[in-house]
Amino acid sequence: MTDTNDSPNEISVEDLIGEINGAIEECAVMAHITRDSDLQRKACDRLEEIMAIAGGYRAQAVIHQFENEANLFLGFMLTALALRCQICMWIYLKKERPDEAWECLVLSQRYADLSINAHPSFKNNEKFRYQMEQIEELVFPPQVFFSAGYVIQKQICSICNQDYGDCDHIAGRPYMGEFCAIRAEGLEFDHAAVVKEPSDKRCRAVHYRTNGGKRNRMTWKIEPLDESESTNSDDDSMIIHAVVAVASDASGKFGLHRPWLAKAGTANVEDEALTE
Amino acid sequence: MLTVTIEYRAAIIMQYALPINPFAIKSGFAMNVTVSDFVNVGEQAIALGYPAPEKIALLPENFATAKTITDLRQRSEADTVQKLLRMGGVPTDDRKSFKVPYIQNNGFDWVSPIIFIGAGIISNNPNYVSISLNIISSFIYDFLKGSSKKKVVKLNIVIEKQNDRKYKMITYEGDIDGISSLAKIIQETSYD
Repeated sequence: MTDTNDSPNEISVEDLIGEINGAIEECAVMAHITRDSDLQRKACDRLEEIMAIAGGYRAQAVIHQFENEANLFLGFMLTALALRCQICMWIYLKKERPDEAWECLVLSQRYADLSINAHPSFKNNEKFRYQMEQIEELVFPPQVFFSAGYVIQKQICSICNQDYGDCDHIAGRPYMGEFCAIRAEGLEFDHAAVVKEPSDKRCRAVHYRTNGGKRNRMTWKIEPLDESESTNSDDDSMIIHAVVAVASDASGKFGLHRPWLAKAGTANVEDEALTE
Repeated sequence: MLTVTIEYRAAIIMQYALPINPFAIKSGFAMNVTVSDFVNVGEQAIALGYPAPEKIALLPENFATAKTITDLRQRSEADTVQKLLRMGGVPTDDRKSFKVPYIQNNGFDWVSPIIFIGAGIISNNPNYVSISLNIISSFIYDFLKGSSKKKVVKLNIVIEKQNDRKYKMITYEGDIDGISSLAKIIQETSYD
């Protein structure tokens, strides 16, 4: 491989960056609630394509052991994901699906954070991250968050599969286009606590019991109890329905929301691999 | 064929015009440092079946109160801190001396494992104290970046005193910037 672009068949990393930046900027035009939902859907489809394109470049960089470039294209994948989640959030809100919109908001923040960690070139995404924080505070009602505590027997490094304490990889840092994560083995639930700042804002009180059913903390509507939920209450204690933990693995999988397919009671999330 | 150039311009993405300065930091965050007595680390380690730490070590969360080795629980962040110190050239005790189950709490604030600093390090190589604090604060800065909200950092540092072999725990709660001020407090407490 050469580092010049003399041949008309060759393309430089600079060109690739320009191509992806341009495509992302076009899609970013759709990241407003006023935009037409069909156009937003097309932008989401385009962002999926961008993720695949950036993923392909990342794979090539990995093959050639260009770590800097591999991390750069990982950052592009995450940027496209963050923007896609933001657009999905607006679509869900227009469809009166605030719970799913919240999940997209949180994921958008998370992917933006990861993009910033992936490569120094994405420091500019701090502005996007700040924008999502403002949307959280202005658009959504205050939430009650939960944090789960666990006891773990062993921590394994997702990069080298060694005992995490024995290798030199640091969790949360990118290595050759992939983040180091700790894979927990022998995990046991220990406790759950109400916290002001959870590590995952999807862990929150979703409903609380009230006369006639359960009140949704987003819509404030009273919804009927599910068949599995007991209608009996032995005392006057408040019963809260909450998400206290969200499972994730170190394999690089993420969920792609498709709000245009949303029907009552369906999640509309498909797993896609972030890793090749 | 993909050709990779070594240098390129920085990626420019999502440059929306924002009405408010995104880097504005909310002020008025308090810093709190307390110093309290701690158990004799050497005796407690031996009682639990471990060698007494002498350099810099990460003590399990419940080190002071554990009755047996099976009671011990280490913070999940301990391995990361130990690695960072080791990679930064800081002399640390063998981490396997306190290889016990981990506790993981999923709050966004950062709470450190208990960092033990032996009297010899403080007297002979005081620079290692500053280096360690710099390494830890740099890591926490990276860990907490993203959200513009101020995050609370909690550090627990146990030091061995120079003269009477007693032990003190310095507890810090505040923002990242205040961590550097602990070097002086550690010195003063050790020689007190």
